[in-house]
Parts: sequence; C-alpha cells; structure tokens
Amino acid sequence: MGSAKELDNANPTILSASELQSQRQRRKGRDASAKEEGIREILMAKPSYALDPFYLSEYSDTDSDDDSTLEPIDEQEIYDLIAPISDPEHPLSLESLGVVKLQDVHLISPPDLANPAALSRVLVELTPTVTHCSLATVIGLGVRVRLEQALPPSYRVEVKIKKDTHSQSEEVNKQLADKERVAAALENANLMGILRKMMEPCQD
Amino acid sequence: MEDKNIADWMNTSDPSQQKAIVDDIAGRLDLAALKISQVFLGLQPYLTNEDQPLPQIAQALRLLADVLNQLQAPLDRIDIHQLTTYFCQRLVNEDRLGSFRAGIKECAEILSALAKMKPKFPSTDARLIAQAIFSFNIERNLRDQKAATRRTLLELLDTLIQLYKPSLIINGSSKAFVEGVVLMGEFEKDPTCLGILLPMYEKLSKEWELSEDALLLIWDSFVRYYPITISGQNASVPTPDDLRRFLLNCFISNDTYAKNAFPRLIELLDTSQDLSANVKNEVFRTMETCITSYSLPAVLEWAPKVWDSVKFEVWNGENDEFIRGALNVIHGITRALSSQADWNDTENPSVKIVLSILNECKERLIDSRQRHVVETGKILYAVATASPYGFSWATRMLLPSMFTHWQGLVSKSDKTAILGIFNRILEARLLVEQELEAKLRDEASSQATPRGDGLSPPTRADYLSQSKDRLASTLNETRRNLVDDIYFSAMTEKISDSPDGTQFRVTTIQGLVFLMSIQDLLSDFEKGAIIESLNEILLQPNQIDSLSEAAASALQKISTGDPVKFQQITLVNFMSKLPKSISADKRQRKSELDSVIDLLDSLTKIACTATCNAETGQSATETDPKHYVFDVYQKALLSKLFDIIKQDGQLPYANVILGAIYRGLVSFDGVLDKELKSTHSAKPFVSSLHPYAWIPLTLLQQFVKIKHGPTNSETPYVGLDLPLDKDEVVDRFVSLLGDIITLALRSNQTTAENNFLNSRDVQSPNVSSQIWSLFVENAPENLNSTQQDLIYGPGDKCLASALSMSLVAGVRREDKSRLKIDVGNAALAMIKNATSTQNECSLYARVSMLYFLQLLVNKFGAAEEKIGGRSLVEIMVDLIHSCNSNPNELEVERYYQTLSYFTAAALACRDKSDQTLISLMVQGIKDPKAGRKVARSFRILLGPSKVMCKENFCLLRPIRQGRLFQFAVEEFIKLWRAYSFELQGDPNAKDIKTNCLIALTGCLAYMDTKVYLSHVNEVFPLILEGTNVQNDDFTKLACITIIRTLVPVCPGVIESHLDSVINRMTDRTHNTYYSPSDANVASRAAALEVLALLPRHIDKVAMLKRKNKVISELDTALADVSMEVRTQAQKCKMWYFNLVE
Repeated sequence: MGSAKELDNANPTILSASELQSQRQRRKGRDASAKEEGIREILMAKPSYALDPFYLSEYSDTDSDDDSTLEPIDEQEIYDLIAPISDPEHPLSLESLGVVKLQDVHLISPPDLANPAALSRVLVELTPTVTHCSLATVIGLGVRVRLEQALPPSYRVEVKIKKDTHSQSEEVNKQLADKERVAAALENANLMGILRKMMEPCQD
Repeated sequence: MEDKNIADWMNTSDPSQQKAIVDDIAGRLDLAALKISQVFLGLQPYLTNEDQPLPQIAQALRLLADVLNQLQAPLDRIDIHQLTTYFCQRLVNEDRLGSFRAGIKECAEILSALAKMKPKFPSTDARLIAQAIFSFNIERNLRDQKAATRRTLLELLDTLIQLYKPSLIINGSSKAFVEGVVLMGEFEKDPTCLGILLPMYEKLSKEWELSEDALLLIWDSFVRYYPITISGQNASVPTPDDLRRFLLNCFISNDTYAKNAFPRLIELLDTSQDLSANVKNEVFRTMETCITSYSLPAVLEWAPKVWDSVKFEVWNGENDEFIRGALNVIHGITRALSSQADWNDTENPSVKIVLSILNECKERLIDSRQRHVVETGKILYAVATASPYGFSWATRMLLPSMFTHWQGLVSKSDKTAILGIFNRILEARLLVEQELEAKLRDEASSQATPRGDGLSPPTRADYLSQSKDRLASTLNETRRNLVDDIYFSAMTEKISDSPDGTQFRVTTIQGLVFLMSIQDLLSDFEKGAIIESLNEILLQPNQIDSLSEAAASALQKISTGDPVKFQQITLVNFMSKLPKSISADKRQRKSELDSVIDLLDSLTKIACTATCNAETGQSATETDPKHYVFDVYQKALLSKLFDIIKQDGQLPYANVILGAIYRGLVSFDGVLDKELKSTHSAKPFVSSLHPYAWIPLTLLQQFVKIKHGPTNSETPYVGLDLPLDKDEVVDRFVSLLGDIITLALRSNQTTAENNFLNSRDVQSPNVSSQIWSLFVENAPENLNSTQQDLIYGPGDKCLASALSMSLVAGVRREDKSRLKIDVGNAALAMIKNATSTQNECSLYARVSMLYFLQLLVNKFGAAEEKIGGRSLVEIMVDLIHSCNSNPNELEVERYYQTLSYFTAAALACRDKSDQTLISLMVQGIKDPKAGRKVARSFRILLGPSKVMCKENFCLLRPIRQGRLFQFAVEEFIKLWRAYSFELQGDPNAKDIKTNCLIALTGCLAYMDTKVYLSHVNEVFPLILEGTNVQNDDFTKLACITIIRTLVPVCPGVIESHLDSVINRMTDRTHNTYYSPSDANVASRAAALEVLALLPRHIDKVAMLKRKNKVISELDTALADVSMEVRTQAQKCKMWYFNLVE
C-alpha cells in the first residue's frame, strides 16, 4: 500500500497459495465436491434414469427441499467477499498481501436469524503492509463499500485499521467511521474509479 | 528467326508466351542449332541503345537470364568468358552509360547462371565478377537499388564463395574480398538480404582462414544487428527466428569472436535496466550457445567472467525467465568444461573454474543462511546435471557442509529449503545417470567412428564407463548422512498441521522417491521402511489433503518401479485395513464406508494410474507383466468382494469394492489408451489376450447362475445370484457390474482378435449367444428364445437382462454379427418386458429393458425389422393407439414411457420413423392422465444418456435437433396458441397449455441455440411463461437457463420483454421467511445470473431506469438462506453498482 507513483512498499511480502488455503483449513472430506471423480462420486452418482419423468412422483418434479439446510452468513463468507479486492498499488489481492485476514473478520449475529429486522454487526480489521501506508484509507473505503454492497441491508459494517499496524490508525479509523465523509468520498468520481478498479476481481 | 523471337519477347507480357520463347531459344541452344552469340547480337539493339527506355533494356536482359538458366548444357568456355566480361563491364560502367544502369538484377542473374556453368566457367573470372560487384557497390551506391537487386547480387557473391574460393583469394589474402563483402552489408537492413549476408559471414568466418583483421571486419559488420529485431512480413522472407539463428551462427563461427562476444554480452547484461525482456532472454540464449560452442581454451578464458555476470541474476533476480536463462548459462559452462577428461586433478583449469563456482555456492549456503538457499539449490542443480563430473564435484563440495548446516537448523521452513536442495541433487543424479546410460547404449550400438570430441571410440567407451562408476560411487561416500541423518530423520520428525510442517513432510516424501529410484543405493530393508512410512500417512484417518496426495503419488512411482514391493507391503497393508464386514447401524456404517472409500481411492491412485516401468519377470495374470501392479490390486479386490458377498447385509460394502474395481478400470484404461496412442506401432503383449477382460468374466462367473423356478418345473434361466437387500442397493451393484462389462468391451484395448464376446463359440452355432448366457457354463440351448422373455419376471432374470444390455452397449455397430441374437425379436421382447405390469423387477432392471431397446434401434436398426409381418415401429404405434381404450393407467404410462425411449433412439440415428413417433408423443401430451408425464418425457429425447451415447458407439446425428424443433416445438407453439385462444374453453386447456410449456422446455433445454434462433420471437414468450410453471423445477430452471443463454445472443428480444424478464427473475429470487420463492436454489441462482447479464447486454438507459427496483430485490437475495444464491446476488450487485450514467 502506498502512493501510486512512489510505492510505499515496493516489495511487499506475498503469501503463497498454500498459506492462503490454510486460512480455509480445508481438510479431507470437508470439500469433497471439489475433488476429482473418485469412488464416492461413482457411488453417489444420480441413476442413469434420473431424467425419466415416469420414475418421479406424479405431478411433481420438485427436487428434495434444498432450502431445508440453512447456510447463515459467517466470517468465512465475509472474508471471501473482501479477499479478492485488489490493492490499488500492486496487482495483488488484499488476501495475498495479508491486508485482510480471516481471524480479523468479526461477526455478531442476532440470536433470531429469521427476524429480518434484527441487525448483525461486522467488524473487519485491516493490516497495512507498512506502517506509513498512505493508501490505508482508500483500501478501508474499498472494503467498506464492498461489504455494504454485498451484505444484506441488515448488516452494519465497521472497518478499522488493526491496532499498532499503522502510524496514523486513529485518523484513518475516524475517516472510515464517519458516514458523511464516506458518503462525500463516494461522490468523488476519481475515487470511485479507483474503488471500482479495486473491486473488479470480485466480479469473477 | 532470332530477331522475330526477340521482337516477340519485347512486345509481350503474357507469361505463357514468354515461356514458349525462352523454351524455344534454350532448346535450340542445347541442340547447337543456335549460337549464344546470335542471341546476344539479336539483343544488342535493345541493350546499348541510349534512347531505349530502361525497362525495355531490363526486359531484353531478362530474356538472356531466363535462357541461360534454362540451358541443359553449359556454354563454351570462350562464350562464357566473353559474356562474363561484357556483363561485368556493364556492372562497372566506367563510361557511365545510361543504358548500363538498367537491368542490374538481370545482369546479376546472368552472371550467376554463367558462374554455375562449372567446369566450363573460367575460375579466374570469379574474381572479375567479385571485383565488378564491389566496384558497382562503391561507384553506384548499392543502397539505391531495390532489395530484390541487392539480394541477387549477394546471392551471386554467395555462389562465388561456394564454388571458387581459391580464385577469390588475392596474393594469399582474403582481406580484399572480405572488405568488399562487408562494404556491401554496410547499410543492409532488409531481412531477405540478411538471410544471405549472415550465412555468408558464417561461411567466411568458419571455412576461410581469415586474418584477425578480416575477422574483426566481419564481427563489426554482423554485431551491429545484435540483438536482431528485423523481421519479415511474408512467408518468403526469413522469420525473426531464422534471422536470430543466422546471427547466432555468426557469433559461434570462429573462436576469435569469443573475445568480442563475451564482453559485448556481459556489457548488455550489466546495463540491464534498459533491456527489454526479450533482449535479455536473447542475451542469455546467446551466452549459453557461445559457451557451449567455442573451444575449451576460449571457454576457460571467459567462463569465470560469464559466471560473475550471471550469478546475481539467479541470487537476486525476480524474473523467472531470466533466472532460467542464467541457470542455462551456468549449466552450459559446466558442460563445456566437462569435456576435459581428467577431473580428478584439482589443478586442472576446468576443474578450478567449477570448484570456484561451487565454493561461492557453499559460502552462500553457510554464510547467508536462508537468504539464498533456494537460488543456490538451483545453481547446484544446473552444475550437477551438466555431467557426471559436475555432479561428483557438486556433491563432494557441498554435501558435507550442508549436512553440518542441517544439524543446526530448527524451523521447518529452513529445513524444507535445505531438503529441497538435497532433492535437487538426487534428481540431478538420476538425470545424469539416465543420460550416461543413453550414451552407453548409443556407443554400443553405433559403429566405431570418431566423433567431434576427439576421443577414439574405445577411449570414449572407457570414459563413459568410468563416468558411470564414478557416479555410482559418488553418493556412496555420503550415503549414511544422506539417507539416515537427513531423509529418515526428517521422515520420523514430528510435524504440526501448519503449512510449514506439511510442506516439510511433502518435500521429504519427494526426496524419498528419488532415493528409491537410484539403483543400489538403498537396501531392501530401507526401501521397505520408506514404503511402510508412506503407507502409514495414507492409512491415517483425516489426513491433510496435500500430504495424502504426495504420499499416494510417491507410492505410485515407487510401485511402478518395484511392483513386488507393492504386492508385499502396500497392498497387504491397505487390504488388511479393510473391515471384514460393516456395521448394521446406519450412522456407523456410513462412517465405516467413508473410511473404506478414502482408503481405496488412495490405493486406486497408486495402482491404476500407470503401468510398471520395472518388470517382475512374472505376471499376476496371463496379461502383460507391465500390468502387474494393476492386476494384483484388482485380484485382491475381487477376492475381498467374494468374501464380503457371502455375508448377509454386506451389499453396500460390496458396492464400494465394486466401485473401486470400476474406478481402477477407468483409470487404467485411460493409461493404456494414452500408451496406445503414444506408441502407435507398438504391439500388445499377447495380441489375442485382452488386458483386463478377466475382470468382468470373473465377476460374471461369480454372480451369474443357471436358475430354476420355485417348483423346479419351469424353464431354466440365467439369473443373478446376489444377497437380498433393498432394490436400490442391488440396482447399484448390478449397474456397476454392467458398467465394468461395457467398459471392457468398448475399450480401445478390445480388438477383433481379443474381443471376448461370442468368440469362444464361433465354431458352435447352436450354443446360445453370450448376450443371454452371460458366459455361464452349460447354458440351456434354447436360451436365445427364452431368456429375453421377462414379461413375468422373475426379478433376478430381469437383472441378468440388464447385464445383457451392458454387453450390447459395448458392441461396435460393425460387430452386429457378434451379437448372435435376432435384433427385431429382442427389441419387441424388450417393449413387451418394459410395458409389462406383471413382472416384479427393479427400476434399474426396467429401465435397462428400455436401454436395450434403444441400443437395438439406434445401433442395429431394429425399428424397421419385421416381426410377424409388422415392423417394430408399427407395433409401437398400435400400442399407443390402444391407450385410448386401455383402462390400466400404469400400462398406459409404460406404453408412453417406452415410446419416448424408442423415439429418442430413432431420432438420434435419424431413422425414418422418427416423425411418426414424435407426432405420437405430441398427441400424448393432451392425454388427461398421462399427458403431464408425456410432456416431461420430451426431455429424454435430447437429454444426455449414459447408455445411448457416442462412447457406446451410438449414432447421435446433429440433425436430430432440427427435426425435433420442426416436428415437436413448432407443434407446441401452435397448440399453446390454440388453447390460449380458440380452444380456451376446453376443460383441459390449462393443463394442456402447461404441458406444452413443459414439453417445449424439455426439447429446448438440450438444443443448440442456433437451431431455434430464427424463431426466437415465437419461442421466447413461451419460455418466459415456462418460468412460472409450478411444481416443476426442471422446467423452471431450464427456462431461466435458456434466457441466460439468449441475453448475450439476442439482446433485442430480451429488451422488448425487459420488464417481464426482470419481473420473472425477481419473482424467483425473492425468497424470504414470510414469502418463500417457488424456485429452488439452482433456479434462484440462475435467475440472478440472468439479472447480472442485463447491465452488460441491454441498453444502459433502459437498465438505469430499472436499476433501483432490481437493487432492492438484490438486497433481499443477499439475505437468502443459500450461500450459492447469496454469492450470485453479490456478484450481480456489483454489476448494478457499476451501472452509472
């Protein structure tokens, strides 16, 4: 993170692919669908006549109730939303630069998930690659905009610089928490251009 | 005569006429019916007339050039000399005549034709020509000539160099000639000219004994082009790669250039900031070529400086390509220096250089600790793979200090880095050994001819042999440290679950594979211990994926190299972990089966993904010993399966074992297929022996039996002997068994010679077809007529028939005679069986009857077969017509079901009955009871089928889609409109309309968009309507998917229905606790994909008007209960976020 012309950190530490995976702690059996076809897939394969309507119950062609399993939004999902955002200075994701970390995503959900009026709170703490990073505010803004766009309206988003990771964290945090300043910043076409560029990988 | 010919020539531009004139003159010259002087005299008026236009002069000269090139016999020596002198004068043009300025290219061509008239051409005239060309260059500025002219002059010079080298050397010196050539190249930039000039430089430098001065002149001339960026634009011009190669050949054409080349290249690297990536890569390539091409003295002088210039690229560089380039140079240095035979002498200059490189590596490893470990490992690899001696010194110099260094390391990442270097050294050892063995093989097979290395054949053989001995002994010196202290200790070291720990273990495993691959390095006990430790990793439950993969991959490589150890250790370990039986408790059983599956998945990967590269000298079956590992594994699985099946309630377990057999077969068949393609001419081990037909045959032998009815008085039949279980469990077992049979039969390994179906009883026509007998011994003789009758079951006979279908599925179309069944009768029997309501057969058995019918119709033309005077199609039509009066609803449904399978098969092969059959189905959707199912059955017509597929040699003609559109979709549109308007009063109108939508969607779901694109305006309203169909997830999803496909293809149509599209999609995506959606997860996600496509393909203004409405719905979708839906909503929201004015 740094200014566009003179890089604050020209040679940032980049996490390897295995380190990124570790944040998801993929163990055997957890993500079986991603594996190549093995014995399990052969045994679980739909029968060859799955398309045959004469073998389905009369006047109903509805799958088993796939909504029966609730998949509430969790920290991993929120992390996955912001991980691909690209750094404005390097063509690298915030995840690979270590700016966002799974353990720094905090979510407080209401006890009753079925209540649409109940609010959830999300706190994301960012770790700039250098303590004097001049683009910390832009990145924080990017994360905030991304979450506000991608989470339901009932989620309140707070983005902060992690303690002791930036020389001006208080000032940056103040800016990121100030709704009016954020709204005013989003009126700025240049800034919006930068934010859109940062969020391009999120559309893949 | 000549005057007329020449006049004609001058007046025509017709190529055919010109050719005739040239042929005529040349022919008569060859026959001595004409003299060249006559031709020349005839041309004179055109050549010397100062008033003649220059193109006319060139035209006249062209005639002479073409005639001379056409001649079969050379001219007289005097004529040649006179012509040469004349045309040289024209080139020199001392009197500066205007007419002599014309036709320079033609002059050059004439001189070239004359020069090629060896031996008549006076060799002293070569110098005359060369001087004329050089004089022309100096006096009349070659630069002004066209590239084609310059090229012809250069070609002329090249001809002289090739044919008259001694004549071009004046007073023992070639310098004057070289100066002339270099002057010609002074300004040259044309690729075609460079394509001649550069090889000329190469020839001069390499073959002429030039002075230092002359060589310097040439160097200065060609080095200007380095790195060459000139390129041609059409095919006749040398490519950039050609020019690069020509220039590189100039660099290495003479050792003298080394003292110019290396400083120049080093300088280019030193100023690397200004170099483009291409240039830098080119510099590395040139350096590598130079270092491996110059003679040893030149290399000795420059190698240290080259090393100094490239080493930092490896240690400090960031660009992988540059690092690779630098490593190639380092590899080249060692390779070039390795040509020196005596490497034991540390005072030898070659050895000294390599030792100094290794010393620097050593310092880096020890002093800088972890900073350059990986990079230093790469350098070591580059040195060690260059030659046996390079390897020997690399290990002698580095290994002891690396061992010491290893002892002091604590963190796993540091250890992994050093282990990576050990791995590279072992890998280098294998590579060098392979290279040496290849050379020794070459040596043994080649005749005793001297080669470029200057060694006599016996000396070379000795040298290679000594190298091999030296290589073998190298690691022996450090074996204990390497094996015990490094790898075995690393393998037993405890690791955490962290990425560092995992990577450490994975790197160790990779090294163990190298250790195992080095001949005679490890004892049998050590090899066994390694295999045991790898087995342990895989047998540990919940192992980390990357660790399991590394262990399985390592065991696969080890097993193919040592098949017996696989059989004795790995196979025994894994099979002993399989439970004898599984629990009856559902939850417990699932967990036990999961463990078995994981274990067998690993074992399948080890045993079935490669053939053996080392042979045991014996085979596990009668097949190729290279299949040893696969064979013993499959045998073990079969044995386990037969044990399990004896126990009650163990069929689910048996299914897993059978699944493993099938999975292994699929993998191994792929491996054999790849090998078959890569070694096309290679003959199989035994051509009459199928590599794995023994597997399905053993299975059939075990499970297929001759059965009798309950009273023992019924006709005996072929049935399956399986334990009792739920239908779906038994069905899974039979289906897997069928898949194995089909796979074996349809495999590319199955040839006419080794095809096991009906091959044994070819000589006994009375024996029942194996399609029915399923290879059972002593099958009843009347089986051909009795076995296909399944109207009354029983269930096990119906299941046996499913296996018969599997056999038919694997038979090629051209092998119809191999079936040995009456196709028409069998197809009719299958119709009767499938529609019977009196047999108690399972779902799979019943659908197999329908597949059987499809295969007979599609592959073997059963539709038109006559049975009792009626064709099969007519019989089918009669059955459907009988539905109106048939009170048995189940039977009616089965008729329509059979019709849909029959139609699909006929449509796919474009049988002439397809229209009739489709029309019957279209009418069927109006049936008040069966109509809905008939409508849904349209999806069978084009939908994917596991049985009626190309892999099973079925005919799937592309035209089927167009025909279905014509005969069905157009009808549905008409019907839907009719029941929407004129027939809307019909009590069944609503249902029929819905059926139309369902049937239409069933067709379009699997149809290429281009088939209906021209009718999209008529189809689209129905597709939109289809998204609203209730209780039919297939139709809903298919409609949304079709819309998703159409948005980018025909945005205009979407735009004209934009609000409807948005409303239909948001109706689906709106899924809240209080207002749940009628669409399932897949449909909701697909609807969001449609919404996401709109801002990209639909008019921005139109979309901006609707943006807020869509965003409001997207906010709802962002809170969907399904993560898949939310993910799509998140992506979609970004498109609308970016949609601004």
